[in-house]
Amino acid sequence: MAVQIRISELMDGCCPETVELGSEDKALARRIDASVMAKIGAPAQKPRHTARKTFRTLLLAAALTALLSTAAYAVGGYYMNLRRTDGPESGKWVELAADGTVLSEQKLVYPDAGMVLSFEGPAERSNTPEFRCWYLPSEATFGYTDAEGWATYLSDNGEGRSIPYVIGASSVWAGKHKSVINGEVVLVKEDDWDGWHVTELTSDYTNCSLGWAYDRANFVLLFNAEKGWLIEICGTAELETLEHIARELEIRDSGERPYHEEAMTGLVETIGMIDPGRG
Amino acid sequence: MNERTLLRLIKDGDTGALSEIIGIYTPYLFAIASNIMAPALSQEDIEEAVSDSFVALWQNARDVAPDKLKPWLAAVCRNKARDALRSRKLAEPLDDDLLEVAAPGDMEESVLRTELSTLAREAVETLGEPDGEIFRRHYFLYQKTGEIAEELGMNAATVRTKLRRGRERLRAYFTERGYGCADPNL
Repeated sequence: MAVQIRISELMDGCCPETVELGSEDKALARRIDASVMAKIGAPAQKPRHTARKTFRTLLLAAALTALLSTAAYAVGGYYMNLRRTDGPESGKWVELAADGTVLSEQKLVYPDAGMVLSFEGPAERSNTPEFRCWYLPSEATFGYTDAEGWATYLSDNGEGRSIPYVIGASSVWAGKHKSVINGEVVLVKEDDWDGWHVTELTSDYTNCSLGWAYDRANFVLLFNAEKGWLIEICGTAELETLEHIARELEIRDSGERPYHEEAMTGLVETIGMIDPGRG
Repeated sequence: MNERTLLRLIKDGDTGALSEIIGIYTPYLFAIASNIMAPALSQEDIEEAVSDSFVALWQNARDVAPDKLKPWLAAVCRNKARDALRSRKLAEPLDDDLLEVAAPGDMEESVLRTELSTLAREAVETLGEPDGEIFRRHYFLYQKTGEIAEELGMNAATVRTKLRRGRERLRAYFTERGYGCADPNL
């Protein structure tokens, strides 16, 4: 018996794993995501947003330790460190098994890092905070609020080069977890509001080596050292607008443990970025 | 969150983790599907193949080895893309990958294909580098010779020569193991 066979059909087990293909296309990824969720019958929005916001929150928490020429802010049990950098900033994701052996280790480099955040404090994280907005400059288009308006992540994704605001709440993650703000970061103002240390920053992305969806973004970071909470309000809106949002936030303990806390117990070192993003 | 953790969460039914994987692998799978399906099929058809690949991951996550997510997704996407072509009776994209193989005895075709797949994997391993990568890029990722040449800093003629030698090595490998093999293009 003689049959015609295609070589390509015989190559299913021959993936060249180190070869990268394609370039980032957020609109395409969103379409694919929507199509997949529809096909698997995922409930409309809530589970996905909940998961996404929490993931982002975890990155946010991982971010807050190495800021501002090593400034540290602490009142209670947690410290927030801000460290200025001129990029690149490298870090790792390291996951250990229960017996201490390394399950995975991946190095990441952020070539355009402008500031690094990290935290010190108790190893056990606090419950996740949640917030309710009493002022928003425009309607939130992404995120989930419960019937009373409480949320841990909300944003107006805007369009084009505008992401007006993103609000994320998290309990900080002390240890070798750091977060990066990219671009040329400038510290605009620091203040203290009734138990919260306030840091206002602005970042210019125009000289970044990687493409960004915007030229400039602003940040208001609210850090509660006693509870170990961080609220990040960032976006392309004016800093005054973001500060207005921040001043009219109502914040409380959600009563919930950090998302995926159990699944992430093996992660002893992480790095992420907290620049504004769409969902 | 690393891929191992994300895969574990997908196995537990976490759609957020699936979204993260979609964000990571959409460009890669879209490129593979485009290599196979464009220009014969539309952008919508290509996106359909990509989204179906992620649906397959959702449905079969428990079968995916933690360190093999990328090749698993790539293989599934290849199959989805080729199925789309076949269902519309459209030609396969590569014009240099046909082999005519004579099976020993009365071996069933499905068994023959399984056997040859194993042998093909072994044969490609013997090619060395960069020849092995070139062969995989062309016959697994469906990259065109010009694209491979550009990415590897070679000229296209060199890439074509290496592919021809790879095909010769493959035929010889099969023949040495009792499978009569010819290139119908010759």
